[in-house]
Amino acid sequence: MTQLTVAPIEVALCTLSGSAGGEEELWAFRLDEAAEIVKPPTITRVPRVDPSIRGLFLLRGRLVTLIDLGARLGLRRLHPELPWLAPQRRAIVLAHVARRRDDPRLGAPRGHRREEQELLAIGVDAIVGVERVSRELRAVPPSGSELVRTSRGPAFLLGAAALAFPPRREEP
Amino acid sequence: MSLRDPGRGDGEDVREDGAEFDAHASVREAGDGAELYTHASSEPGLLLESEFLAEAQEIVDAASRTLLALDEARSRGDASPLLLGDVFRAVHTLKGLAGLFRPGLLGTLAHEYEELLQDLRLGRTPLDGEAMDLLFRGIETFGVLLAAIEAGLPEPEPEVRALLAALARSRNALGRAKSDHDGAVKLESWALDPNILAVLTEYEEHRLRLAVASGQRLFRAEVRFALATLDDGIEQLKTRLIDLGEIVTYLPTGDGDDLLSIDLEILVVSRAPVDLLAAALEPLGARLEEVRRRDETLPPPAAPAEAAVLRDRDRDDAAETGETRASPGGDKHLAVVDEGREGRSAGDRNEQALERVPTVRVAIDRIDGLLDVVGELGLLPFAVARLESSLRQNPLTRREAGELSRLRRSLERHIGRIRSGILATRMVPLAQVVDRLTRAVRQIAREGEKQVTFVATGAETELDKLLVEELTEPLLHLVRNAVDHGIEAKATRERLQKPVVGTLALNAFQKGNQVVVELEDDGAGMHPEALVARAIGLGLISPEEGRTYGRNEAFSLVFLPGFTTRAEAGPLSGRGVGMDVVKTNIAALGGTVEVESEPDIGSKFTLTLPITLAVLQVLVVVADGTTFCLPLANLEEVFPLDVNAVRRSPLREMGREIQEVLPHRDAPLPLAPLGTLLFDAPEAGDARTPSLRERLRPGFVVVANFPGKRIGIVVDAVDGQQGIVVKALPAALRSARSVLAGATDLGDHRIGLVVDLGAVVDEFVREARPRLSPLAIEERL
Repeated sequence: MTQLTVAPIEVALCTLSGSAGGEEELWAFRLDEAAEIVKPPTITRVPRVDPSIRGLFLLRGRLVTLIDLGARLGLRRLHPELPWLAPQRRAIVLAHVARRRDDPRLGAPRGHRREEQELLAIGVDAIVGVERVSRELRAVPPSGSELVRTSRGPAFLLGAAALAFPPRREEP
Repeated sequence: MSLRDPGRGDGEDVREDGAEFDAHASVREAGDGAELYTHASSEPGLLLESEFLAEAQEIVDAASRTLLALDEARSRGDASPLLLGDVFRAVHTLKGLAGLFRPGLLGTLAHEYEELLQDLRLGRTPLDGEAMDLLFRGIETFGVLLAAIEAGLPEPEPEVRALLAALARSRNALGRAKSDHDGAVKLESWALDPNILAVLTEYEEHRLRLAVASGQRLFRAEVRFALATLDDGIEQLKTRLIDLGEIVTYLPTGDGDDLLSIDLEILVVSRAPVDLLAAALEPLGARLEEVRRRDETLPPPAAPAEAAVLRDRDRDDAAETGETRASPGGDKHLAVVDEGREGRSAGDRNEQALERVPTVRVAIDRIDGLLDVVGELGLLPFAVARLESSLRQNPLTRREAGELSRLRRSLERHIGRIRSGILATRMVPLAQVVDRLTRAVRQIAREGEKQVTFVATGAETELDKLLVEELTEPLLHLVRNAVDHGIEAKATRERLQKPVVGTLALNAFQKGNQVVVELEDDGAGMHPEALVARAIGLGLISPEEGRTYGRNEAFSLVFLPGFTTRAEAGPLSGRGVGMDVVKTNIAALGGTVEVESEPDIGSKFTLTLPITLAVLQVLVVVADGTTFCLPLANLEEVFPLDVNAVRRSPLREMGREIQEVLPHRDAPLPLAPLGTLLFDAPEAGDARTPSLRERLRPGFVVVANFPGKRIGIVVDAVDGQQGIVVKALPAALRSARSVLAGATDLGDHRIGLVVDLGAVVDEFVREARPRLSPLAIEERL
């Protein structure tokens, strides 16, 4: 397989327990997408969405969509009762620009499109460091992630846009 | 721990899954009040396009208004050249814009349209009903084309091509039927210098012919202006003559002997006595003489009484641009004169601009951004209030608590003012919709061969900009229906001794936080019994249900999907689609529509809308631990649920065979818990799920009322009524849009999910049928 090396980027490294095999895996998020780290907020459940979406919370008046990374990546079974955002955990807030059609029910003219920055949050166990990593452009499963080498070992680098839109999953 | 990024390398923009990233942010641990600063890039090209579209739309709107005025003037027999000139200039500008920003169909259409206008101005083609139809059709097509461009849809090419063909056809056909006035008059028979006649532009010549043909007298004046003050001089000249006559042309004579001044020869047509004109021009030092026919010695007879007085402030400057002229006596001042003309036209525009308050055009997203900020500001008083109460606990700080409370109240007041100020910037008058409706009525009446007068009052009533846009389609539909179904044919009206010309009246006014738009026609009206019978005939309701329908319920049948009073679809309406869409659209805007009718007297539709979409009145409820906002528009009442009163009903109700109902106001009210409606996917519930009654907890019933559907929504708690600012759901939650219209910050750290009640109720009714019918069949067996 051809490998392309691209310029190094800075990432925040996070651990996430509960992965398959019980091991702790390392996840990396681009710093230029990361907006801030928040303590577990109060979550509002949203109907009719992918089960990996935990709901919404407010960050200074803005709506943030909270995504359960484990569930999104299909790494562990869903336990609705699991305190997946325990007090010691953190949510890393990522910003991405979404292009969308406005909902005419909110009064937008039909077909009106706009680009708007939207916020996503990912629940993680801990943020263990920030470092500059070099990348090899080689996509690995889970889709939308790529592998980067860090001082702590290999980590999956995840982009906000890939996380924002759940992949179509087959019905069980 | 600080995650602050020391130096981001640029040029690492990586695209994944085709999505674009544009997020810059500083990262800090939360809780220290860190500001989130992010900025999204905007593409300059896109911005220009939106500016262009907004401007183009404004031009088309203005042209439309002028055309309506022209049509009205024409029906009085006074087609002012001024109005035609205005439309011409507007379309000329549009053509220029299109050339710059959007080469293609728009430019082509603008060009052909301009050509037709030019022919009309020059009298090459008569300004008759047919020409007016084409002009209006053009306005519609411009609108459609611009909307398509804005929505990023393909241009409606067939439609535009059809119009282009019609324009070409009419210009050919109309061109042959050359207009009456010209030609008949031989300008050569006036004692005019042939050199002057030779340099008149086609438009000037047309105006001149028209004037003398209508019996106006022709005057020639010479006036000298200093070059330095030429613009002012000409402006004065125009002002002095504006009420007396029309200046056909100004020509430099080239006789002037000094280089600092210029002699102009002016041709004026007028009905005014010569001494009045002379007096008006005297202060300018102008010499005035009447130009008589070569074959007459007496002044021409007095003007025919029926001819209208034409006032034209010669504002056709734009039209002349690019036309070359030669002065009769030499061309040394030519450039100067042309500059003068342009200068004047600029002066005109300034004059007009001064009459109005200067305005700016703002993208609605920016206003929304400000509203978000104000939303956050609105939270501050809550925090201050908490601080206040803790200060109040301590006797030492009680005084400060009082002071703080005063400051907080002041803060609240100011935030309120900022908020209403921002909301006010989104307000536009309803007039822009009214213009479109007026055009539509005109067109529909013509096509359906009906005579209708459209009267609009309250067009100045202000509404949220986006609301006005969304209101256009429903209103157009109602107007179409009123003219097509409401207003009777002429013969019928005569037999009923009604005025031959039908009336369609629109009345808009503000009522508290709402705007009411009434649309009333004096047409055939509707019989409640006939509506019920029709609905039964169409299988929309059962005969038993039909018997229970009261007068108002009967009228509301017209909003049922599939309802039509016509056996066959007419050319304009009557296909059985539409009224339900009107109702749904209005409901989606948080409004209601009601209908009242009297046979042979007429029908009246009353639309009630929130004044702005930014604030939606909702009932805040809690179900399954989640806070929801139910738009008040379709809510009827709220009462505590008595679980013991819930029955399984054997009645057929809205197509359901069996369901939990609550006897309520002498009709069984179907019940559905909100949490179940929203969170349980439709396939999750089947006939074997535990009965509702087993799942019901003590709570409240919120009665939602939609045409033909009335259900009791069960919630755990009711938190009262509130005005909210609705935010769109993030793109990541787009699958929830089937049942949610948005979300809101309730101000107390809670998110309220705004429920699309219409969709939820529809789904409830729809899902109930297939699921329960097999069971019903089993029972019958």
